[in-house]
Amino acid sequence: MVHPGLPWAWALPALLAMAAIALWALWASPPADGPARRITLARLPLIGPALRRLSSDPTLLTALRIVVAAAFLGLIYAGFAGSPVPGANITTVATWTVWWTLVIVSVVVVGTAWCAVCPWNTLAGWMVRRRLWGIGDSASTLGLKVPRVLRSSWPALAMLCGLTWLELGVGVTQSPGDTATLAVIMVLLATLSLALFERGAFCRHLCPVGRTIGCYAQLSPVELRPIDQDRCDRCTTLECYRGTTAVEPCPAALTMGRMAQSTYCLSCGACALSCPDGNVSWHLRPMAHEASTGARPHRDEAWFMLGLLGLASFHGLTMLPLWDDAIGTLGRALGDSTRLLVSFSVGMAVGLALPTALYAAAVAATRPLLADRQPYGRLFANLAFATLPLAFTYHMAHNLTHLLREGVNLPYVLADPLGLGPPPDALERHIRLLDSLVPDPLLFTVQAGLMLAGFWLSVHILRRRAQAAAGWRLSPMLLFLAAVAGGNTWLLTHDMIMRM
Amino acid sequence: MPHFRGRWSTAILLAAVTVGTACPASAHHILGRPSYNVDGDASTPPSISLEVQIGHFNVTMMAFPIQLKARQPVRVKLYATRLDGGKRFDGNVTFSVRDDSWFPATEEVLAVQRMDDNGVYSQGMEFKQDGDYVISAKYEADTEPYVIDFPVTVGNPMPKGFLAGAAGLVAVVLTGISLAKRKRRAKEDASRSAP
Repeated sequence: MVHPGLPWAWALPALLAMAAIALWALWASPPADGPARRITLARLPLIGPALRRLSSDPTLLTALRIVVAAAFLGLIYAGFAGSPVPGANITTVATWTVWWTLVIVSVVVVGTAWCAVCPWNTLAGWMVRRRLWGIGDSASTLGLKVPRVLRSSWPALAMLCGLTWLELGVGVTQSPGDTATLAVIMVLLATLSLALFERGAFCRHLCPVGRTIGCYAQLSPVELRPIDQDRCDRCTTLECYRGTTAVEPCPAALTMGRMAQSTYCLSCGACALSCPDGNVSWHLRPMAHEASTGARPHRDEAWFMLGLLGLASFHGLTMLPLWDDAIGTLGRALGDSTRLLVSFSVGMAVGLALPTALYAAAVAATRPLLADRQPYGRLFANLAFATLPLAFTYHMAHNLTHLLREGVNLPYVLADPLGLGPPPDALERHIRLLDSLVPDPLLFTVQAGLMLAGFWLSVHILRRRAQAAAGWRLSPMLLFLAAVAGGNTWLLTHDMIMRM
Repeated sequence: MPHFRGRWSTAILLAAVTVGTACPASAHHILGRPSYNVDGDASTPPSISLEVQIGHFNVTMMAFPIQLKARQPVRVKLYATRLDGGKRFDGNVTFSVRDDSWFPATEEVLAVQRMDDNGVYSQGMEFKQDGDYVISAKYEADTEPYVIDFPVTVGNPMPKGFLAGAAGLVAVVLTGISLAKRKRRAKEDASRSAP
């Protein structure tokens, strides 16, 4: 089924506003440096006591983990035992329509909090440590150091590409059984990783979802940080890093007092539980503050961000009718099989390589214009943060279409989770899918707003990352960002083929 | 695998992809067709149906009954009309079946069927085992070959082997690690207590 794309009445104003922002950025002077304003949420009147309770008592988090893990196991069962029709089985609807959308949207509100209740890691932890909470049985883990070759974001990028290939190329989203199989494989990987390696090696280096929301969390307006930095600076015991007799050490091997970026934080709250001074809390900060100033550039993380940018746009592209024409032509040219997996793989490689090559060219063109001429590799890693909002906002805008249009199926699959009852009459189903959970104008406004906000944040990060340089000196990078933002908006204007 | 030739090969290829992802058909495609929402063999709606435009034709396929089970009769029906004018396709349709796996076994040709009085091509079959299969319908029109792949799931092929393998692997690794660490700990304790 095909649903209408973003009308030009919404897209055009957004594109004009982007053009205005780009023009402003060409003439604007460099941004002034200044400390970011932070609000400690634990000190706020209403939300503060609840957060302090959450930080000092693991009961609620454990209960949440049990609920999420139980739901996850239920989805695995439904995937194997339920209807093979993706729109009728709760496994495909809950996984690809609801969870995969909301987990990205959740980053805006709660950062990497999903990782704290992630059922892959929860089940792995229970199996390896043989405890629901607290210090587990260390006899079940070898605690090996992660091999140097895997100690980066490259494995997670490979996993993300693999997941996208399975999702869009093989069509895992169309199969409840395959979706359940994938879920079991992820638990298996998390368990073996936890059993073999020290701390949360799977979450830090392998997990495609954790790394994705970890990257996006650098744009989030929330962060887990010390309440009083001086107290952390004076600390010599480092319970947050080492753990205590009752609390596990930080699974991401982070030290709260030196934490500059949230990308590897799993929001598990172990640091808050173990800190003897209760000096750890959630804070509000300016949107994209970490991506614009706090986060240190690393080459592997830059490649992961560029991978996100390419995959987000490629994801949208494959759901357009024009992609079907293109892949069919390519399949004929290559003499591909009916599954078109070779053609899809070639298309995906191009979809990934093109934005990366354009970015590399934009960085190369920008570098000679900057007064402070950094080595190319460092500049490449540094400016990649500017692409993050473009991927994030397009990812959300695209997934909102899935959630709000395909989400109308949710009450029906909740009523019959396995989908083994009589399927709805075809006409009834068609009429049902014509509905949306929100009025179309509201969806279009949110989507256009997201595209505009993404471009604004990208320009903001670029200007901050370029430090002293600004204005026309950034024109190649501005052109690149505008082209991607415009391209993504153009993708949204097309009719979109629904998955279910 | 059939060879795609001529100007409709792209359309045929596309159709195969569309069918490969097997979305249930939308209602507006069903309206105006012979009423075969309920099958003659079993008074249930189809388990899955698909509609696809391929070359000069609009093709609908359905599988009956509502839940396909091993060692029970399954019937697949195909209905094809020309896009221009809606005239029914009248010819021979060859039905075949193969495993829907990465390395499928040889395709088994079921039969060649003619159109019945309702303009529908009907093929009965019985699957020995639960699993994922692809039923192919092939015909030729205007010297062009047409291939429609229709994936179906028979029974609830709970992958017991896979689940048992996963559980076994975890159990072996965790037990192995646990035994090795306990042995090492006992050795350390023994060396510590030695005079």
